[in-house]
Amino acid sequence: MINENIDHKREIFLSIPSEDKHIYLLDMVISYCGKEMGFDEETIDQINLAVIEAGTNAIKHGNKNDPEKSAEFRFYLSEDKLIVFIKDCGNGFDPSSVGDPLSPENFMKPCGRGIFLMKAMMDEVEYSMGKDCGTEVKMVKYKNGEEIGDLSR
Amino acid sequence: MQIDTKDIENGIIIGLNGKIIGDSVAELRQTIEDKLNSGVKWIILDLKEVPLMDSSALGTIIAAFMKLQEHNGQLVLLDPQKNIVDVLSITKLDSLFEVYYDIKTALEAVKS
Repeated sequence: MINENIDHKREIFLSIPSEDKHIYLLDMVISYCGKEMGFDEETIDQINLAVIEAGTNAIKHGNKNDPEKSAEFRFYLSEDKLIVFIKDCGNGFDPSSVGDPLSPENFMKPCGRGIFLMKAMMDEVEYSMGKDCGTEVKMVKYKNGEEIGDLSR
Repeated sequence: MQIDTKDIENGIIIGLNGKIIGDSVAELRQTIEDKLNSGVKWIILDLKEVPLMDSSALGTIIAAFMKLQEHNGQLVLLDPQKNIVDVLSITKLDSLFEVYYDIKTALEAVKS
């Protein structure tokens, strides 16, 4: 669990059953948060992609598409940044176990680009794992952040 | 997401409208698999009306590309929006897929 005191103006909590069809709810919430915070359309699309990737991972890999298990999303809206937490009920996950999708051995593989895209679209991505409490991802997008695609962060 | 297909000779234009996320990825995968099983030699994927696609959708397109390539077929992309172009660039998949911005040139490419 990532513990942090977060200075925010508004908090939104969303808990969805682990089925693909509910991913569209994330699209709606991110669009709302982005417009509320004054992000431009292009940046909202970037955040949207990152949160959808993280949400899909939580539903598919964390909760194994079990609709009895929920994926939880917390959105903290503040003056200068949007912070998103995504949590599943799985057995924990090591993001370093996913290979570089740009390497020759992985390039033609149809999977393994989700975390890469999350890091490219957001300013910060941090994983926290626990065997009993699943995986939690914290992602941050600043109002005046870096251009997308900087993976050196 | 809405899927429209148009058969032309031994290929197909698949027009997509909407975000390819969540369960719409499975819908796209099934459409492509059905067409591949029916023996199409080429696919033009019209992305003009697609504002967003996730990595699962990208994976579906890569799998179709590879399957067609095994049989000397082709899959090309038509008129992707900037967000999609950015994702293709970041993932370097722009070096894999041919991208066209008008249907006439795309048809010439797949029929050649």
